[in-house]
Amino acid sequence: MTSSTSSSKDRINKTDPDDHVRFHARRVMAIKIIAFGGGALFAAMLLVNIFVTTLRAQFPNPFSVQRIQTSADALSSALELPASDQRKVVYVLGSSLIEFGFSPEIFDQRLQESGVESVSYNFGYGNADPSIHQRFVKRLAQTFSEKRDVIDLVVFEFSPFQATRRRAELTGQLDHAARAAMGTWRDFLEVAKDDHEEAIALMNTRYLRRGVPAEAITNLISIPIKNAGRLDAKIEEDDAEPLDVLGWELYDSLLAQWPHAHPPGGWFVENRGGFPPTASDEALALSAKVMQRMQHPDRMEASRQQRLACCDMEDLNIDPQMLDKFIDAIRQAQTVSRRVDLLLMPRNQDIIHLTAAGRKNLREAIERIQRETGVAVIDFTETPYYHVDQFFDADHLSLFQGRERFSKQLADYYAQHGLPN
Amino acid sequence: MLFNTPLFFWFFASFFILFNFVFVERRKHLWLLLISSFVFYGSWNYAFISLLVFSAICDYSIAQRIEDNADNQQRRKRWLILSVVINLGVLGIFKYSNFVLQSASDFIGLFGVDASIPMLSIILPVGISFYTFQSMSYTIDVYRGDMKAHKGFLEFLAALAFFPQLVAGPILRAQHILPQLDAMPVPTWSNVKQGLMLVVVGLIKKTFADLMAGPAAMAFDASVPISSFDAWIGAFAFTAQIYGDFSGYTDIAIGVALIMGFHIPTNFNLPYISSSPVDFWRRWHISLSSWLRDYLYISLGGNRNGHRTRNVFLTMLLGGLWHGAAWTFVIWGAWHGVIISITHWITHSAIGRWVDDHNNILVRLTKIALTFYLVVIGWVFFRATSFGNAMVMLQQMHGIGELGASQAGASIVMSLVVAGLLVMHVLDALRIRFADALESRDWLLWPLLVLGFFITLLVGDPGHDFIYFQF
Repeated sequence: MTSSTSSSKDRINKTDPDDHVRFHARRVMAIKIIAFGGGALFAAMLLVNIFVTTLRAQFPNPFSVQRIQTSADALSSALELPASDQRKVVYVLGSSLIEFGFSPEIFDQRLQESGVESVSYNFGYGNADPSIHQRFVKRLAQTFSEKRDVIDLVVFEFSPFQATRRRAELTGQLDHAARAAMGTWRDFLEVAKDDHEEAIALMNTRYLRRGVPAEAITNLISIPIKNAGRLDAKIEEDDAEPLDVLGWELYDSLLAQWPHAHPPGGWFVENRGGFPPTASDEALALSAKVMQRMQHPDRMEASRQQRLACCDMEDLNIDPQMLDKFIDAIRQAQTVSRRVDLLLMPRNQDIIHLTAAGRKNLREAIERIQRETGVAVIDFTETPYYHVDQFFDADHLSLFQGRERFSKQLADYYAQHGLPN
Repeated sequence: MLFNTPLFFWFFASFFILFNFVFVERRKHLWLLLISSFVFYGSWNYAFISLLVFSAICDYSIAQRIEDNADNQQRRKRWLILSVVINLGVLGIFKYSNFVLQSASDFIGLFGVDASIPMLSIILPVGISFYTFQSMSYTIDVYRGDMKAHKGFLEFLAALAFFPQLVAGPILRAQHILPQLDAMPVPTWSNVKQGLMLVVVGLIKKTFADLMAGPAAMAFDASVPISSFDAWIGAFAFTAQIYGDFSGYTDIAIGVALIMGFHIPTNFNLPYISSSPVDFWRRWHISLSSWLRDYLYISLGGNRNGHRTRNVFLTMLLGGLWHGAAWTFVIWGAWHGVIISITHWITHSAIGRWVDDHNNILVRLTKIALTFYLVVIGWVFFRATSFGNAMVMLQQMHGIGELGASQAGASIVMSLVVAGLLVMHVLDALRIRFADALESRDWLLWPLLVLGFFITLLVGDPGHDFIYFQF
């Protein structure tokens, strides 16, 4: 460590510590430090903000938090929806299974054919575990209970694999991102009472890094590592036309047709949160090609393995706290909706085989939800049967076949059972 | 309150304004420094401030008694023993009591007797090992006549509680910091720039260290056998993590102090390019190794009377125990005691003379590689959760016993870990080599500071404790 040896500052340090000359020198030095060091820090903060914003604008989902952002956008949109509607208002809440699998247009059209006028919304988004649902519905309840009472029906999809113990262990970064993206000042202050560091970290994520947790940025480094471990990466090597190339073609084609909808991410009121019901013949043909490739048995098996690793999808060891949060989310929904129903989405039975323990765990979880909330259960998990070619991976319905079939099926259910008066 | 968090930034910013613009007289500076240090320490646990004050009162008073009895060696010695007993007693009660009870219980259990000795409900006060050693060295210095007993309890307490180094060092000597608190110097512009550089380098190193925690944990906390390659990844990752974490912390501590106008001695000097275990301890945690040398090794007799090996071994053994109340730390200390003793023996043998005579680049690199290997082996004990865990890791690293398959992408992870380790050392080397040149080039230093802050803010994930807080 070196220090200046001949400057006037050294002479100053030979003066009495309580000499006014020294006070002045200290103040001047402090101002220089603030300008130099503080300026560097401020410039760095600005650069971080610009860097993250630019990357998010240039690439579709560079930090893998687009799904969280979608849920935050969906929430903002939900809070701003019209205060009254003559039609029956239906909110379908859930995971990416709903996001990809439910079409509000098809649902409403089908119900209309049965003489029921409805307007439905798709509030499904990826990685939506019960804690994210809880936040989402809490905000809805905070706002709607003060202003209005217009939701006729909430269909709450329960994804059991989003509530498993294994899934709960992996929610750290996503949970942080969701809290940052969906929280308000009031929520951050609430967090600060118990954990000021976390509250500051939430504000950093929300405002400094524009919704991107630091961990999501370092995750960029892990992408090649994860890719090296992907089973379907090996399948890719044998493909004459790599799937990701086809996927991007489909992406571009859909984006050209629907500039204000998925797949770029986000929640768009034009399609009430869902994908548009159909697409051009070229896009449909390309989509069918992509779906077919994705339904390759090896790729489906890779998808299954990934679900087993992340979410314990066949044994379904449910995390009690996650289940508590889901039950709380339903209760909150019940305060703002005339009725709440519980939905179980069709399972890809050719790929995902629930074990005996998995069936038991699922049954117990559903029974508990019913017991504590009194909701009716719409169970489409196994009946009617959905063939593997109606899914694009281990659990998501395909965009233009599976989605249409399910949306009509749900509408038929409500045409038969009726919507709340 | 961690250095790498916004909370510390606001704490320091408030302190900085008050220190430079509001309470500018020396006496007020001392009070402000003391109160700020208590606030800093109190953010972990306010109750333990009393323990710090107790240590200060004891050693301040005892040092005065030692000086007052300049003509009575017996009394001086008794006062010194009292100081050592009080300091080690406090350390023993708060840090080692449960370790002793557990070890006794385990030992009795070896004879088939179920001795379930109840553990004490004691919280380890953060930084206790640092300030206890610091306080104790003051009375020893006064006893040895290396310094006069200080007149002014406020300065003494402020020195002991000096917040930049309070919870994780470096271990400051009273004779180093007290004169600075008397003089209360204004930082030079050169100090400030050095300080800012150190803060930024420290923050970057801490950020890298946190990134290494994952690969280290995957190996050390694995519940199933892992491959030899994965075990080495874990060992290297922890080697990088502990260096980045601890040297990063001390860099920030030294940098913050420099911005305030105070000098804290350097604590690390490129330790992983050491050419021998002896050299390693001249470069790693220098304030602790020099403390152990001056106050323990020399007190045990040092090199005299042909007991060097014994004294080295005991010093390193206790140095290991200083790090934590667990047998793995004791073994880590013993390991270093053994390899230092062997190094001494080799240095004076025919092999050592041959090496001295052929000290070319290849020999130097071999020495560095061998030392690094020995240090990494030591870190396995340091990081392991138990002796068994350490042995499993060591076996896996050397391809012995049950091994698992390599993780996908293991070579990429290894590359990143090695790159992280290199980057941290290169950063340090560049700072040491070019610090003076940068000082006179604000136009270059400022963008580098921006870049450093940018990296930290972008990928830094505050909330990870510094490893050395547990000591």
